[in-house]
Amino acid sequence: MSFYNNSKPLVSRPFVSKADFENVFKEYFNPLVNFVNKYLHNIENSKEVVQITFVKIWHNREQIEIKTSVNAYLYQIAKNSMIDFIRKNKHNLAHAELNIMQIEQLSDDNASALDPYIVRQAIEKALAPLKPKSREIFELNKFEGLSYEEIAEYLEISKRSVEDNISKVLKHLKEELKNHPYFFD
Amino acid sequence: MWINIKGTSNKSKVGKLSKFDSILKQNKEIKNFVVSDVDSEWNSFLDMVGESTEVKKVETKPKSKIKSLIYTLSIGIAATLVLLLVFTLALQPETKIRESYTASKNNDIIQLADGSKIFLQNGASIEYPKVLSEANERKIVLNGSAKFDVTKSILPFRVYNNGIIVEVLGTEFSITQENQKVIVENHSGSVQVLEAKDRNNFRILKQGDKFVYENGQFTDMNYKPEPVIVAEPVTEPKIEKPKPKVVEPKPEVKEEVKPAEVVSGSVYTLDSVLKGHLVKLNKKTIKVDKKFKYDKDQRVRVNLNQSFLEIMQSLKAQGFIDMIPGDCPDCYIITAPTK
Repeated sequence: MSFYNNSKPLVSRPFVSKADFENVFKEYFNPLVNFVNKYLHNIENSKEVVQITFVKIWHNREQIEIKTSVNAYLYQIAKNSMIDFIRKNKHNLAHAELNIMQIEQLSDDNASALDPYIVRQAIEKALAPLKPKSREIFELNKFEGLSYEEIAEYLEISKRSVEDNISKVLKHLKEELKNHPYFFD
Repeated sequence: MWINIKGTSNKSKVGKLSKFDSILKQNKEIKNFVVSDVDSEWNSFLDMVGESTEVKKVETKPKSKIKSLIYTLSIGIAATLVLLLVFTLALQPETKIRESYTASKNNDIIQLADGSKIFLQNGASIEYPKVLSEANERKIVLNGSAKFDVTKSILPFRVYNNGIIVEVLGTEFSITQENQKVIVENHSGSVQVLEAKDRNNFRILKQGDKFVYENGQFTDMNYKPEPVIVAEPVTEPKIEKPKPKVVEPKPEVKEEVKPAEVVSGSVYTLDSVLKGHLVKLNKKTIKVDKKFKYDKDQRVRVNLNQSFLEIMQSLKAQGFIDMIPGDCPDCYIITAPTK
């Protein structure tokens, strides 16, 4: 079961069953880690925060009833866990106060904050079987904003190779993601 | 760039496909998306909450009573055998793969199976591998101070101490621990020192280099005198970038000139600084001229905590590169040094 429908929860109590909890964990773990990493700038700490987030949910799973969406709920808990983590580890973390301020300024009611990360996870999964060079060309263009000429110069290949590669990757992604709810409502 | 789709509802499908491109544009702010193994993270989570990871296997039930009995009996026999094996192994004193030791005097020596020697200072304690036959690293956990004489091997030699990892292939170096401060000094060969929590924060020490690691910051101790420079980073609360910028003109090392720039920082290869740092982090604004043929293994000393422009100016001052403006206001092209 996918929990990616962001408009309303498919299941209002999605954490009660262990199997459902596991599904949520595995679908949201990487997006949450990368979302948290945007503020903590440290992957190990980010993983720890996300684990803490899920532990909190686990201990209260019988009582949790979601009225908004799983995305929004996880976002809220992760945001609070980040702030708690930074406060506890202030002396070890650079820019702790600044980070807390940035996180506190995030809206409490932001159901779509995790969307880019969920989407990115889907894209990464779809890109995984491709050759590293093809992936790199695609990522340089789509995620780092380089033009075809810039990529050709950076990688010392022809512009035509860049175009062909990107075209192939887009076809592949279209096929892999055609049933994904974020790309096709 | 849209792919022509055949079918009866082309328009709607193409319309939806353009959402893909707009989603990709939104994704640009996520530079590096890290993908962890969710299965092992799930197992770690279950350990944290005290849940068994074996539940799934036990749930498979045989259909008939006889099958159920046979199944239960075979589980029981297997469990008994496992327990016997565990007890047998536990009773054998020689099966320890790792050993612990605490030094009771200075220069207490531990020799590893590969001939590497560790000279412990009084009170220092280490954990080290007794055997290396199936290891993929030579892992030492050190608490205290010690000197190392490492035999060259394809197995990396890593010392874990107070938040840092010192990694070598074969060299002589020492680690001195003073409360929360760790001093790493390389006597011979080449050593990489990484921060355990963030392995992207690292330094490479060549022979004679000495670094202090404290509170997440590395300080280069190679330019020792000038107590002003040394004292500044230690007494100031760190917060932003640590380095006191290039201040004192130093008439040391290298041949001549070196205008007002102090050559501070760590040693890297020229290629790693140009391509691995400057160009990689500024793909749109910094390029290396194709006609510039340089020795990729050329050693250079730079401070990567400085701005990109300062790094390029430092390399230029040292005579390794030159730079000319690019097509945009903040763009530069790195070229061969002008004579």
